[in-house]
Amino acid sequence: MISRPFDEILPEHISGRWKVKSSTLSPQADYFRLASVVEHTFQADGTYSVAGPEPASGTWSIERNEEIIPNPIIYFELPNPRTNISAMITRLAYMPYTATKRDEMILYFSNGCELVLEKIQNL
Amino acid sequence: MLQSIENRILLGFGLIAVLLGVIGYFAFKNVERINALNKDILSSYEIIAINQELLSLAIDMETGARGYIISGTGEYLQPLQNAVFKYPDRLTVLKQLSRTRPAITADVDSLPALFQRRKEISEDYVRIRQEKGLDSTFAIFGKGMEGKIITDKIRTISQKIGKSESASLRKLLKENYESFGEAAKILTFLIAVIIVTLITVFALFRRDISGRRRAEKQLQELNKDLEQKVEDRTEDLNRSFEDTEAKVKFRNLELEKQNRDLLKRNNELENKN
Repeated sequence: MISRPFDEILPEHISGRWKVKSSTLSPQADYFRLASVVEHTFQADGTYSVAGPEPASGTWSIERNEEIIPNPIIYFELPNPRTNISAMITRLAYMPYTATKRDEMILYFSNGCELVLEKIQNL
Repeated sequence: MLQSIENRILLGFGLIAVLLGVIGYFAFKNVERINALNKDILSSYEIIAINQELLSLAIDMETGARGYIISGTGEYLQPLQNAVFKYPDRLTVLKQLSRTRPAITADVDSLPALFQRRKEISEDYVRIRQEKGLDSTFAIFGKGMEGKIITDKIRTISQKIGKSESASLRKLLKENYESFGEAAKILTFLIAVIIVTLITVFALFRRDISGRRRAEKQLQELNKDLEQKVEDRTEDLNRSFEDTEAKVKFRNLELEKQNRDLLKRNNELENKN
């Protein structure tokens, strides 16, 4: 797989349906709302929804702080209870020259949780 | 690997040398046999030729004397004189050649006496013709047939010798032919052995070379693979290091943000109070 350079990552690369391939939780982390999510949907209009035991929907956006870190940061905002979560993209990769395009994204959360996502549909 | 090739080549050439030695020994023995047979064949041809010549000389003795008796011309004496001059030498040679021929030795040994007698009779007739004339000579001729009997005996013995020697010659020629056949077989075997050994050595050499080339290629591929792995691993490590660095910075950012939020809330609470 080829990693996409961080400065070339655009919202359209992220928008779509992503299933959770694997997740790693930090032993020190408290309850984490996104830990049990099985599918994440990033809409192009900024809507965000999750599927799993605790389905929810909110918003997502990309921010950058390139003076400190080159990685793009995704901000999630979920209601009930209102939750603001940040995740850093550590990898956004794609498989070239294959019939079925396969994208992979790794998100690192500030509480130490890491999610490996696989895109199942472009939106 | 290289040592193995050298050993195999040395072994191949050593094998060729041993085989050449063994085959060379048999070839040498065969050539010796052919030489001996050729000598025997040559002797047989000589015996047959001298035997025929001696018979001719005996006939010359008889016919020379007869011609002179009838004509009284000295020219007719020339064959007789020629035969008398030549036959002792021919008999000596024949005797020497017949030493290795037990079948004809006795016959050859009997010839000198017969030739001596044949010579005496012819010379007696010539002398009587010279001294007493033609009539007296015819008178003696008419009484006995000893001259003819002697010549016939010589002819009979000559035929016997010729027959025996011809049989011997045929046998020798057959043996010689067989020896040449054996020599041809040895030569064919020798060539076959050399060709097979050379092919074997070449095949071993080629196999070793192919094996070495294959090993070199595998080594090159392994090296290439190893280089790629080292490159990939270095890239992984670099990325991992960058990831870790980014994660630490990200968490610091988040902590700073949380601090700011807490301070903001604290200020808000203080302001309320």
